[in-house]
Amino acid sequence: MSSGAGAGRPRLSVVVACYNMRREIARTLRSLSAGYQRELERADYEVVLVDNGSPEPPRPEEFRDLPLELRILHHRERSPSPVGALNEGLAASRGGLIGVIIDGARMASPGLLAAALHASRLHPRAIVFTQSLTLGHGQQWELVHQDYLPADEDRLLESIGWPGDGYRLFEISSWLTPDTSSDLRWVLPLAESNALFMPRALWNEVGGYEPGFQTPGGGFASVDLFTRACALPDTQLIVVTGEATFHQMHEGSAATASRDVFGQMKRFSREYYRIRKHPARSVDRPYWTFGFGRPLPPTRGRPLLASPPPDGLRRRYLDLLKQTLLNEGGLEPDAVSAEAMRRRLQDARDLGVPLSDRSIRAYTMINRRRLDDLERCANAALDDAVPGDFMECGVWRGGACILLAAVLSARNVADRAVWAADSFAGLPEPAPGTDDGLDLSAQAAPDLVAGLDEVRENFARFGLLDHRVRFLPGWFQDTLPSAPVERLALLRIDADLYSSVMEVLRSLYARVSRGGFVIIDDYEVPQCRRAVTEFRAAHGITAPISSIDSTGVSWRRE
Amino acid sequence: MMKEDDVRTWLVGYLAELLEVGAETIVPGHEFRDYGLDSMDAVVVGGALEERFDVEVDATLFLRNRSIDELIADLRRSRLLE
Repeated sequence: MSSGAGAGRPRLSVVVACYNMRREIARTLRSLSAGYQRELERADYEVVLVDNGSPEPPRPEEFRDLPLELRILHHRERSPSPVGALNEGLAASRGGLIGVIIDGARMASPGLLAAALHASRLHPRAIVFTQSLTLGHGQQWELVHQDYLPADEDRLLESIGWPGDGYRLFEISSWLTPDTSSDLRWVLPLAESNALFMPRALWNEVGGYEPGFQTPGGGFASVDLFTRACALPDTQLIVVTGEATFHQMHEGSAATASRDVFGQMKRFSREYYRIRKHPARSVDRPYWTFGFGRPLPPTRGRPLLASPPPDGLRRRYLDLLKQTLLNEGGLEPDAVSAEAMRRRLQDARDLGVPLSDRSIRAYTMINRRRLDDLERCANAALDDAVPGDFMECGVWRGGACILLAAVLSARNVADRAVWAADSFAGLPEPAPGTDDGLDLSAQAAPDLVAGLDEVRENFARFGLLDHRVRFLPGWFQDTLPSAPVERLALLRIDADLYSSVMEVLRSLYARVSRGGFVIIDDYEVPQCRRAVTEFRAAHGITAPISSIDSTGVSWRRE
Repeated sequence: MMKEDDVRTWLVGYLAELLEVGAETIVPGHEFRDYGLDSMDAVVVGGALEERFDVEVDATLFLRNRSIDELIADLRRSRLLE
C-alpha cells in the first residue's frame, strides 16, 4: 500500500488517549508503529497521542526510535474522563480516515490499521470496528481478585516473544464473551468498540464524544458514541475479523480502578441514563465482515494457563464436549451475507427453534443454555447425593445423554447409569384427541429420526459407550412401565407430544428420588405443557417450576 | 420513596425499550434471564432506576431478583417503596 496522499496529509489518523500509562503506552505505540503494522508505510498514517494530564506525561524523545509519525498533545482541562482529550485529538487529526483507541493501554494486532483502511473503502459511510480482548486468562476484574500483577503480564508477553508476531497476542488473551461459540465471537452485537474507524465526515456528523460523560474512564461515552454513529443514516457497519485490540492492565483503568465492577457499571449506567434518557444497549444491525483471510487465531478457552485451577480439567473437558455436541466449533466462512449473519445471530440467541442450520449437523438440538443447565442439574444431583440414575426419554442423536455420561465419567461415578429411552425410529403418530394432530412422526419429520446404531456410535465416538450407558429401544408405552430402572436422580423428558410426555410421567415419576430433577424440554409446546400441568395437578405436585430458557423448564421433586 | 405502580410501569417500559419489544411482552412474573438479560444488563437497569427515581440501590439488586415481581418485593422489604 503506498501513501498515495498529498504531502503531509496521512490517509489515516489514529487518536489514542492516555493517562499515567508509561509502561503500557510504550507497548501500545510499538504495536501501532510501521513494521509491526503490516502493509503500511510510515507516511501512510499518523498517531495522535493525547495525554490527559499525567503527572509525568509521555515525551516525544522516548519514542524517537519508533518508525511512527507521532504527535503528542497535552490536554489541559483536568478531568478523570478522556472525552475532552479524545475530542482534542479528533480536532487535530489530519487523516481522511480517523480511528480512535479510547484507552492508551490497548495494543493492536498487526493487521488492524491496514484492515481498517481496506474495510473503509468498501462503503462511503463505513463504521469499521473490531473486537476488544484483555491480556491474561480471564477478565480484568476477575484477574484483580486472582492477584494477577503487571509482572505476570510481562511474563505472558515474553512467553510469546512479543513483539515478534503480534498475532500471538490472541494466545494469551481473553474475550469479553466467554460463553459464545468461536465463530460468533467475531460478530456478536457490540455496545461499543475500543478501536473505531470512521471517515472524517462521520466523526463531524456525530460531533465527537459527548462532553457530559465525566466519570473516570469516560463511563459509557464510547457506548454513546458508537450508538449515535450507528444511528446515522446510510451507514454500514463493518467488523474486522482476525484483528483486535488487547487491553493491558494498568492503574486506574475502568476495570481495575474499582474492585466493585458492578457498582461502577451502575454509576456508568446512571450517567448514561441522565444524559440520554433511554437504555444503553448493544447495536444490533446486520453488518459486513472484513478479514485478511489468514487463519483466525484461536479464540476459545484459556490455553496457556500455567496450571489448571481445581476442577479445571474437568470443566474444560465438559466444555469442549459441549462445544462439539453443539457443533459450535464448526468453521464459518470468514465473510457471509448480511442475511445469513442475521440468521446466525438469531440462532445464537436460540429461542429453542429446532433444527437450525447449526444443529442439523450437531449431536443435540437443545441449545447451550439448556445443555449448561443439564450439566448443572447432574452435578447438583451428585453433590447432594440424590440416589438414582440419570435418564432421558426422547434422545434423538444422544447429545444430552452423552453429556450426562461425561459428567459421570469426569467425576468417576461408576455406580450410576445413563438410560436412553427412545423408539430410535422417530416420534409416534399423534394420539387421537390428546395430541391435537401434532404429527412429528418419521414420515412428517424425518430429521427427528436417529437410529440406535447411530446413537451408540455417537457415544462411542466420545469414548463414553461403557457399562454406564443403557438403551431402552421401543415405544414408551411398551418399554417404560416395565423398565428395569429403580430410582432416578434426574429425568429429562424431550418428547413433545402430550401422549408421550404423559406416558413418561405416569411410568417414571414415582421413581424419581426426593431432590431429583425433572426436566421438561418442550414446555412451550402446548401439548407437552398440558401433559405436565395435568400430571402435576393430578398428583398434587407443587414444587416450583423454574425456567431454563424460553422452552426448557425443570423442578426438583419435593 | 417510590410508588410501586410507578416503578412497575417504568420497568416494563424500560425493558420493552431495551429489548425492542412491545410492553405487553414484559410479564412481571417472568424471569429476566428469559428475556436474554445478562448480569451486566441487570446492573445497567439498576443505574437507570437510580437516575429515574433519584434513589440509591444496591448494584446487585437486579442480580439477586429474578423477575419484576421479586424485585418489587425486595424494594418493599428494603423500605424503598411507599
